[in-house]
Amino acid sequence: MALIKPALLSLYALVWFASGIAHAAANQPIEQFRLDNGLEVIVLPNHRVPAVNHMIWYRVGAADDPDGKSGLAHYLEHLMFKGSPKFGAGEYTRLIDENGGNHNAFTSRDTTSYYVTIGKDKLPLVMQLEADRMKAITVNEEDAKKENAVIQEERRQVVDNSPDAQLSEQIYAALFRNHPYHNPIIGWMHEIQNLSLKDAKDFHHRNYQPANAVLIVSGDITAEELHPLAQKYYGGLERRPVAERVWKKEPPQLAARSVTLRHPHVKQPSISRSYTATSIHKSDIKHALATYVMSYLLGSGKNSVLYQTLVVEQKLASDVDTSYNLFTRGEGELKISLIPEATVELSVLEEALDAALVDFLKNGVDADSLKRTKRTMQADAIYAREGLTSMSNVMGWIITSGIPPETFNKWTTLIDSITAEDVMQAARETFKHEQSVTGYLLPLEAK
Amino acid sequence: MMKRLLLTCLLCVLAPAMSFAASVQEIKTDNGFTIWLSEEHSLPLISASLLFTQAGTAYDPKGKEGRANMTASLLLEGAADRDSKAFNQRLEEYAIRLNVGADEETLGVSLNTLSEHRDIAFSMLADALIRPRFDADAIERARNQLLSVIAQQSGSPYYKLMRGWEKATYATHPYGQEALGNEKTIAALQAQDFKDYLNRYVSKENIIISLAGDITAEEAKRLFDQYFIGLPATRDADSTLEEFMVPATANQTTIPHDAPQTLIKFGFWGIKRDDPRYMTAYVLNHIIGGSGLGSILAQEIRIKRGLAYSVQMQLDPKDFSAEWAGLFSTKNSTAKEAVATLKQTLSDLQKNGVSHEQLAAAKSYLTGSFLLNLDSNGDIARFMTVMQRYKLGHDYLEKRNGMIEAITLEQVNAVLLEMLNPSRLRMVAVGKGEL
Repeated sequence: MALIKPALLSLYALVWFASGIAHAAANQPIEQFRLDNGLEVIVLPNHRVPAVNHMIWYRVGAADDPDGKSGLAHYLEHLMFKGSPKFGAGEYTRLIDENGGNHNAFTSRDTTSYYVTIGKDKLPLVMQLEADRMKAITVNEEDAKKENAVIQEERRQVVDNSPDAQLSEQIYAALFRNHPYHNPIIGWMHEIQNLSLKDAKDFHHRNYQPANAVLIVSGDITAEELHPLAQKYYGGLERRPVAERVWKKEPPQLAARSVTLRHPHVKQPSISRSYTATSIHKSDIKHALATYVMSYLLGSGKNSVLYQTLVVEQKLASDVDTSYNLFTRGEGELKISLIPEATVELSVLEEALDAALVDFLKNGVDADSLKRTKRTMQADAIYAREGLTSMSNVMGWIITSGIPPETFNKWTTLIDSITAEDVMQAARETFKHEQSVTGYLLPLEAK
Repeated sequence: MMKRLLLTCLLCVLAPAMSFAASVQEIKTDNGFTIWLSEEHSLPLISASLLFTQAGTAYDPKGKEGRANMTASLLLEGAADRDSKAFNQRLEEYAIRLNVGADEETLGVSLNTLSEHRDIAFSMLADALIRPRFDADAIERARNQLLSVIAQQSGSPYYKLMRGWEKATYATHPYGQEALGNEKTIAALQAQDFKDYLNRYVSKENIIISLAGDITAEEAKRLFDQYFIGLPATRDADSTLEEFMVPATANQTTIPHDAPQTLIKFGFWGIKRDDPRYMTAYVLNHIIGGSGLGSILAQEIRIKRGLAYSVQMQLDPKDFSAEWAGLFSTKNSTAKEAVATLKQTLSDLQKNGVSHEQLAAAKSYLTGSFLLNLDSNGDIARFMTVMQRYKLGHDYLEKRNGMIEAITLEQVNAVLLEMLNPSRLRMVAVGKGEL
């Protein structure tokens, strides 16, 4: 291989990637079944370690919080650990811990998920606990109040103590003015404070039931082994009609918006630009993936277009980063974050960013960058498969985004299929200045 | 010479039927490298973990604070005949993930590659460690990035807390110095400083190598003997650390910061990794301040009183010192109540000790969950590096759960009495809350 000429080397590598990586990524068995009560079950057998990850996803998240009750989905996630019909407050954590399991939960704008990684023989216990709290929560008023205080502290710790996080929250709120994505997942403080136990119980009753959930089990198990267990523990749960998710739509954004946060604790100014972008739900996987590849190529890592232009060549920024999540039910956000060099004004950097985006739209993508970017993203996908939790997590986003589970095995080939024209079309669709929000983080003005 | 160690019986406590197929081999190469290897051929991936001991930021000489950290970031800015752009494009072309970072004690490297590209990956790693370029423009970029990170952090309450704690605890000892450096030292560091650092601290003498994944012992040997031949033979420090005892006296400092929450770090003199009581302290730490909601402090501060979102303690054994400290944050108006709760909980523990039930539950979690945290090549490689660094022995994976099982309530409570006495509690707070 060392003797292959450079011109041939990249060709060789491409062929290798088309076979090697795709092969490595394409061989995960995916098994599925559905219980009569509507619970969808996906099994990802992987016998490397004698353990399993059990992850249940509810198709409900912060965007489903009722008007004026932002933070409710997340509050309920916390209360799920405070008791169910057969298990008292704290029993869930105690039992999982004592059996050597690791557990956690997370709330997104679209979904709420609960997961446990544990020795295979303890799976029945996990299913018993999880099914019981799908039925109901039995938390008392006092515990619910204390947990509300905990969430207020969580908000103070994660958002209110950090100007950076405060600005991100304001940017998102400005990007979505009518759509429920306007509200932060954790909720606005004044609304968190008014959330009641009754709100949480009503929300649970409306949304937590087998037909509105997906169970993903990865690890040392097969569907044949799992089916009787799923039937035993989840089969008896009542199927209720699934409430339709009606979200207010965002009107077209006609004018660019900007938000400025001046804060005494800011010592390093920064600038960020967010655009509404497509998502798997809003268009299809190909468009969303093209946007993902475009976002990566534009601003992720030292080889990216913006890093090379603004940091290396023009020396106007000390760092740049882009982020984009394609798995959203509503529109996505493509965000470019920039830190100026010490003596550079934000306005100068912003002009340079705009010029770089214009150049990018005009000049297009060079073939080598596209190839490299796709390889990195393919490798990321493979590395992300190593742990059980990570496998269930990827599959969960696929399923709850409404795309077929087989996508899990086609990911690298799908990335490979994205052309330079796909990328540029994604760029043209995304970078419309009137559909953006620019955020400025600044120190207090000198007096 | 090769020793083969089977990692069976790890999950005996969890389930007797389970077994773990992986094996750890110790390899000695012809050129004198020692490599620990765990083969796993189901995916075409290799993870490597390299560690240079006694090479971290605490070894930055006075006036050159930030040297180790800045060198680490420059190692990925071009090496041998490839400048930064060519080097990074090549990493991406072959989907190689290479990271270098300095902590207080060590310089660490993690490498992930597809096994097919192992020669490219390991030769590029060797280039980065042995033949970095330190080009002028790359140095200026790294300098600007560091200065902006330092500026960014200087306003953060968490950073103020960490700095406040280090100063209050270690005073002028190198463990108290600024790991990232400051505006002055970063402005002054030059290419020669980074070269000096490499010549002195990145050597065969203080390297630890662990590999996991799709690679054989023969290949591992070949890669290191072929590519790492130019690594200096010995470590030649220009800075030495002396033993430092965290003062066994109570101390309380408040750093003003105008924000809704007050952050509090609290702790004591700790236990070193080679102390025979280390595992006992580890179990005790899980009972009192382990992560998750099951610990005593999480119960008292979060669950019963709603005073904080997270509260945790951990052992922080250093090569020449040790601390045992925890962290939480609470709104300013409840800072006093939260600190009082912490002190009351610690004094109740002094009086009553922990219970049989609490010890049994902790053992059950720590033994049962052990293997779950080792489910990727990267995790396995990093863990083998820990085993080598602290000389835990080849049979540690077999022995570890048994060691935890054997710990008695008397041992746990003896460590509790000796180490966690609230009359010696040290505390630093950042915020407006009154303590």
